[in-house]
Amino acid sequence: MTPLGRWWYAPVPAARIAWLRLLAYGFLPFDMLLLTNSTLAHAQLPASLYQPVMLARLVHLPAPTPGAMYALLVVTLAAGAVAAAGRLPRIAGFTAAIGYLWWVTISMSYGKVDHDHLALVVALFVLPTAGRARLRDQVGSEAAGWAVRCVQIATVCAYFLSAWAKMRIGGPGWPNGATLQWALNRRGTPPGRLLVDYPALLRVSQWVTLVAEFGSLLLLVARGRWLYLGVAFFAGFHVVTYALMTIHFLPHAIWLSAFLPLERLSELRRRRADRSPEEEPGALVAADG
Amino acid sequence: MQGELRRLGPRARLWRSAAAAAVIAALCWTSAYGSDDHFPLGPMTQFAFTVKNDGGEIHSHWLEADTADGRHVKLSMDAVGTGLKRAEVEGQMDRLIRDPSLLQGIADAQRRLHPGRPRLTKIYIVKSIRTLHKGKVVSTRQFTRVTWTVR
Repeated sequence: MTPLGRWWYAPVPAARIAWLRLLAYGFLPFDMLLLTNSTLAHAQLPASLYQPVMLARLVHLPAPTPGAMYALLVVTLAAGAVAAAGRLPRIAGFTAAIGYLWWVTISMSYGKVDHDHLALVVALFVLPTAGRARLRDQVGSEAAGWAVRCVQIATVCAYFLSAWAKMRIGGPGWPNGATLQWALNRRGTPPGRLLVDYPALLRVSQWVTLVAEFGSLLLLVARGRWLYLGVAFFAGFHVVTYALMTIHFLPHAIWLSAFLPLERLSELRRRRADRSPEEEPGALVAADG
Repeated sequence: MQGELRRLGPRARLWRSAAAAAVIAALCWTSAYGSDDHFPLGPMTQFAFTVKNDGGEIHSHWLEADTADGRHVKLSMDAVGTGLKRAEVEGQMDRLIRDPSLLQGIADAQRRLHPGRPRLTKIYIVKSIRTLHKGKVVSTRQFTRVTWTVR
């Protein structure tokens, strides 16, 4: 195998897939009912305001109607729940993936496209490919490794390609401009608005953002402490962005967890379950509480 | 990871590698030459534009309306309030200016989404322009861009 192949197919315990599925399918109701619920509101609008994006035109996605969108919501969430329970991981998983892609494509077909859904869409499509995966399954699997790597790459792509777009559209002078001032003026929170009088600080933040976005590629090769430090940095970045201008990027940010050894959560769970009351009288209370 | 290891056969590997390579190539291509039309691919244009520190302008649009009970209200910025988000109003601004009758759809959606609230009689698209000097806002202008009398 080539070094690239060894890297991309590095085996990962199937348990990590099981945890990522819980995350993905657990997040779907939150996303569809709160973040991209504009799809339901759009269904009330006349078709003349429907501006389908290329994908929607290619597959001849019709303008949404309330009945169709409620049906899509129910089918997608139900398929996600089945897959999260570990049943029919492929059929149910792909159903949820296609249903969600339809949903989010409608949501983006009214004149504004958001860019925080790439990792979620990729995760929904690659997680089913790993087949059956149980929370206790600590056996290494190349199929799981490939899927996890794809989610990681999609997460990094969202950062890296943002920096690329800034150079393409804003130009090399982007970090010295007033884009952050623009954002804080339009949607700054009270703490965010405190910063509008400090343009130099805003420029520094723009430099940090740009360097971090280009540097995000390092997440793909970092290991151990450096990797966790990187993940913590980007998680902190999203927290600060949310505090200053209520942009949370959650459909993207949750996938930073694909860099973490989630399979260890299974061991924690088992260790708690294994403790019998005779051996550790105090443990029962702790586990129940 | 000790003992057994679940490996992939050559064919399973081939389609996975091909699919991943195709998506990455498409992402790179759309980032270099594409537009928002290529959703869910690139380019990742959020905040990619630049604003001049001196003479740069911050434009924003929102919807206001007269209601049947004689009030003038600012319509909610989210889709569930008016059927269209502010960014969507801005994304379709050229169309709305060419054909203000599209605003009728918003009045109709508002009536369906909030049947209990007073009817909208007139809808305004309002624009504000804030001008920057040395990276700070020094002046604000506000005016009505489009009006539509609801049928």
